[in-house]
Amino acid sequence: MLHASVGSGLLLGRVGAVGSNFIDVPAAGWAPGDLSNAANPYYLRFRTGALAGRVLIVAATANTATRLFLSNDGTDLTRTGLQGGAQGDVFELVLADTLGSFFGSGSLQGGTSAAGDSVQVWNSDSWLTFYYNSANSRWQRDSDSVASPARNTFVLRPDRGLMITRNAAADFKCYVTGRVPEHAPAYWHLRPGVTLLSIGLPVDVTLGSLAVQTRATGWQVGANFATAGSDADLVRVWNGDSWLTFYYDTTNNRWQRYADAAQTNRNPFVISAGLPIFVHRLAASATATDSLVPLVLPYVLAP
Amino acid sequence: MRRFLVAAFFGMGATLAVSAQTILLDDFNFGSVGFGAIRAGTSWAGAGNVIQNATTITVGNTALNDSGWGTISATIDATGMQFIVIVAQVDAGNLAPSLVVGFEDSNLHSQTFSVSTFSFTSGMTTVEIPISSWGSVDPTGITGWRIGGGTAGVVGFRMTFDNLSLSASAIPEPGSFAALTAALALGFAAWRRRLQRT
Repeated sequence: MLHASVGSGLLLGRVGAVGSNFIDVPAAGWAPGDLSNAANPYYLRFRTGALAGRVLIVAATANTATRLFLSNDGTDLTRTGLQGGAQGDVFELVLADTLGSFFGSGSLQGGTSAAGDSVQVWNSDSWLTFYYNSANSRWQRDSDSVASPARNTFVLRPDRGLMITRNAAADFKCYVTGRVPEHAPAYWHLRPGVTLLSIGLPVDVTLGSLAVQTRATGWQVGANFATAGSDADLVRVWNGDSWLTFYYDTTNNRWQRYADAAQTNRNPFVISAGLPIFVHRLAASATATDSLVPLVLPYVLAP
Repeated sequence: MRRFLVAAFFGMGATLAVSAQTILLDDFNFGSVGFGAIRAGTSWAGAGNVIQNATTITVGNTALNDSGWGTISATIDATGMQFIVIVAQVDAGNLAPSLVVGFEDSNLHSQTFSVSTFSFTSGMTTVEIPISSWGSVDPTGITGWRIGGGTAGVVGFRMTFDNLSLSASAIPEPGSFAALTAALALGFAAWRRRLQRT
């Protein structure tokens, strides 16, 4: 979910100029170091242009009054088609959620790493597991000692999913306030690699309507249900206790489940609102922009 | 002339010394300490899924292509490192398409490097992955690494690992060593002939 923008200086504006990992905004009026402060992390979302819908975390390098450094996920921003100048692309800055700000100290069951509820974040090839350590009154990684830094300000990227493992007996009800996307998300993902992607939409979607095989550049399709786990790009969805693995089958031109000998049509498979998906890509990206998954808003907001 | 040749030999020696700059991440030897280990919570932790041999580990049985081996208590300054060097082989039954090496720093920033498992053969193969960018990871303060298939576990993973390291430069092919040796021999012979004439 998307929060309303907060902070000082320009939080909605146009890009004046762009560097490999920064943007310049002449009239921004930002307080130096304010937006790059790890205690109050921000992210930037483009609203127009070639990167419309993409989210970039503000980097730790101190911002100036007019320059903002961004974690560019390895893509040179000067090669992405980003436009600067009087008609430069429009962006907004948003305060990011963190383990501390989103979950606080009491929403999940704290305790030890074994007894507490856990929050897992995919870090591109494995899980980072966090829990609220009641004795130390802070968020910690499961492997942290008391000498380790607190993880309260670990950023929960809005374009990424997370997994909660509940040890407490009662259900965990999570009410998230904010605003729904009015622009279609175009989220960056790892190529080659595995990304736990937030779909970012407040409505259910199906594999067929999501259609990442057509929206993501160079999607590697499969022709054999038995080998697709090795030779096709994959979408995986958590079903409560295991991952369901899907690929786009070129024999039947539809989504099917890997290793499903019945080859059932999975185009109608519903991905519930709020559920993230694993996206597995085999091939490397060829350009600075083909690692985006541009989605289509399945609704129209009233003007 | 003699002074020139000495300088040339010294230069070659210096080049070789730079080539030798490596950081050993794991030798996978039985009894080695301070390197990697099976990562709890991964499929590799299943009974019999990782076999410790004398100088290698073999991953198989019901192990999947998640990243099941590594450490989170490393202290590595990877400044200047240009390649990840893996000595490994693919074993029968492997279905994992990729081998992934991941790194993290104290802020838990992560960067992964991937190579096709087809780069390996059924015999021990040395494969280098160029380090194009450390991304948001601080290379001077790497605190952890892991190796495996890089997913949450989809298909069977079957590989044997012998060595994992970082290198400041590409490891010359055996042919390059032969050419270098021949050049040195020719240079030395020319120097001897010129010495005898004088």
